[in-house]
Amino acid sequence: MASLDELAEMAHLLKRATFNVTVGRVEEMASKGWEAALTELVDNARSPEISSGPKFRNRYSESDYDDFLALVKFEMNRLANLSGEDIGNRMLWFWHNVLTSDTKAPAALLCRQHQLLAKHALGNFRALLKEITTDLAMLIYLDGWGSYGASPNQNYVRELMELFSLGRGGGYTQRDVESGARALSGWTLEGGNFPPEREGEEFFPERIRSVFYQEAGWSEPVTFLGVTRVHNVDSVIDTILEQPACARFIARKLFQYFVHPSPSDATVNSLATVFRNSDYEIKPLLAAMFRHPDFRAPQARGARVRFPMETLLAAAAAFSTEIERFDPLSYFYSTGFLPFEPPNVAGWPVGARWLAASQTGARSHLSMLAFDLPKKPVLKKIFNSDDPVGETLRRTSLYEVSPQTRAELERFARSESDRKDRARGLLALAVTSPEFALS
Amino acid sequence: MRDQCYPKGITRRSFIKVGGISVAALMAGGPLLRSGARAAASTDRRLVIIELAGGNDGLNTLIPYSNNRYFDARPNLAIRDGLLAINNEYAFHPKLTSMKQLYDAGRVAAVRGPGLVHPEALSHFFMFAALRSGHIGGFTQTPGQTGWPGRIVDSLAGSDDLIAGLTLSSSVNPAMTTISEKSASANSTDDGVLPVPEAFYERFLAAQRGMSMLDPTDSSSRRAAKKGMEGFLSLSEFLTSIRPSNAQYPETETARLMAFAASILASTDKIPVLWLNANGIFDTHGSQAVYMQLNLEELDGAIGAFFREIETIRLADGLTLADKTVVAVIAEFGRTLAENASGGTDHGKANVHFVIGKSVRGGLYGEPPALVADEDGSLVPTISLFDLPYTLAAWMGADPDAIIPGGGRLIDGLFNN
Repeated sequence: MASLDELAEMAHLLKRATFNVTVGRVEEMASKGWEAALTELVDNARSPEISSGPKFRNRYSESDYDDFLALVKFEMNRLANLSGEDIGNRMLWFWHNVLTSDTKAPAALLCRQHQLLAKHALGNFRALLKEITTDLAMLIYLDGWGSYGASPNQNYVRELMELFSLGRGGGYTQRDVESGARALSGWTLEGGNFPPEREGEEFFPERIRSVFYQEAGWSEPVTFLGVTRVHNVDSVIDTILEQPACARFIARKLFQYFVHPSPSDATVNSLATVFRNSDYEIKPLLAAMFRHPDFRAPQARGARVRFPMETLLAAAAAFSTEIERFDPLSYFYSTGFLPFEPPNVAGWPVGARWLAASQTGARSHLSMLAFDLPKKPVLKKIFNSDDPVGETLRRTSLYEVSPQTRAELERFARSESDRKDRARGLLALAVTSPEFALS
Repeated sequence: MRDQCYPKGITRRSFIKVGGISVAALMAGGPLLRSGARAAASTDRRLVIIELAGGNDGLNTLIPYSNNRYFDARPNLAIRDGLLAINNEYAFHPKLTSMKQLYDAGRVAAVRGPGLVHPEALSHFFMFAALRSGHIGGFTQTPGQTGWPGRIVDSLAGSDDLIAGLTLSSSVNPAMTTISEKSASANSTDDGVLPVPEAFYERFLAAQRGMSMLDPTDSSSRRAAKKGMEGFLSLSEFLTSIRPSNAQYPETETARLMAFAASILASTDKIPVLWLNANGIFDTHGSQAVYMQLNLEELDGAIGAFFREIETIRLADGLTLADKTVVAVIAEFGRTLAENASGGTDHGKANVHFVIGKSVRGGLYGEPPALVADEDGSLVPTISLFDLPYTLAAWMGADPDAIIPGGGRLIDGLFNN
């Protein structure tokens, strides 16, 4: 039998490395031990394969969100029903938060980008950056398509350096933005009747491709990050990856996303060294992060704020219910977090933003589903238990709560004589608790 | 870079169950707005800040239509038709019809040339940090990582007020970060009512109140989560009490936010600072002509409807809400002088900001930037990005040198009173 501390520690790992901590999994993994769990969850993991998507209408219309909403629904259902591939899917959404795009691109192309990010989720960062640079949705989102060498569009290359690879202060200047924009010019989209000329007209996403026209690009040598040559996508990415800032930038982002917002420089540097030495293979970096003492330190537990998407998936796992029953879109709207629609090109910020007053409100609304849950099987487990509060906390993976939260659950349990209603109220309160917003 | 644009028709109300009971009616303790007096610094003035995040193109907003350099630099993007001339040099963008009316009534000040000269001045995120924090070094350089509007909130909030600044969004804008923790956020669809079944309602809220109490062992994250819950309970009570607007507003996201702003300001004098982000795609690297028409039409309609409504809201002292309210329209940076090949403009430096209200002495302020591109293709700023925040802080009755710690200058004559 694992001790309470071992259970709490395993819940910590599972909350970070998976999307849905189902009841019993914490105990099961804790019985295997920490190192065996890491081997299973991280070392043996593969990138997810996403070969399908929802059916899209593909009508070109600025105001038509149906396809986008279908994509969000598709993805939330997929994530709520994962079997394995946990960390690969967590990394897929990490990359969505770094290499951002949004509904400026049609949903069908966002779906293709999603499949691309999945394919590389645990692969190689160099290959990922090269492919994302000419990805269709990215070319649309950051204005790479139709950028001419003579007066190039600076949007993509600036964000490529500032947000995707080097970070502010990462050693580039406005001159590198200008030369990089030249180097990446000449690309456009063709085929599939995209963009259609008239509103409402159909386009065919599977036939759209990215093409490069030398005559629209820039054939003269330019100096980009100190390297003077005729540049292209490969040489631009390779040159960026030679910068020492790159591995540090990604290592810091990864740590901030999965562990807590303020890693020490020493921690970042040690992870960056692993990343660089593996020639930007993603899995060794991830394995090093999860095995870093900072991750296993007790202070790391509950130090991370859940994104609303994770809160929703955690609630669905705790209630053992179909995610659709929560009305995910309304929840996302009230939290201001929409998958595939980050607030800006820097992605969804990590941390306290998702603890604001309105977030508690959204979580409280989410918890109300407890009052509509069928008697079996979840409620029954709680109301048949000798320790309904303990069982509720176990079901919601809350192994470490503050004395106030425990006291309020106990008080509520004492106040309600109907065992079914007691179970409902306890589940709802656990999901609204401050601790449920954290992981 | 673009801003969020939500699907229409999905609102939080759509999943609020019927039969909810007013939080205010049942909640025990902790009222949001106690009747105590505001701090001595209070001037009873209200500031609504609208951010055009992404970097609105100032040059096509306030158009120097008598200058050939403008037309030379923008063969496709220069606006020739439908100009709303305000004098023989400048015109508003054709979609700014309400702004033009307000300008003609002497209520709009256009501040020309605000920006920063800095190696990172073309980064959205460097400039967001500067614009919102009120310091060129960003939030690491301000006390408590506060923003300048947040510091105005700190300096004006009464000690008994639980909330004195609101971001009209699902989360607090960094600019509204306070030390006093009196800053919260609310969506325009929030009505403060939780759909808890009646039999549980009182116990449920009492339990939430209890869970929000701090414990000495709380980590900083858990403390922040508890403060969020406390803020939610206070805010719920306030939101159930606000007077809904029945004025006419356009059916747009920005207009919904401005209608919400009017409702809040009409319902309390304890929340002197509101922040909202206008809906739109302001980072117009491509197809700028289309985006700007949509952006500015939505902004203009919302501002026009807001001022029409607040003129009619009479306060206890006999004045109207319009007498006490100023709207500031700001953006992190402007755009390049020349257009690019995508029918757009890239990141630039100098921009134009607007201040609107009855207290404003309408007209043009600041030196206009010369229409000559610097080495980055940009217009060179003529006044600091922080001079307008400095001037607004002073008008609000706060100490401008405390609000803008790196220093700023008053824009002379911007306000009548």
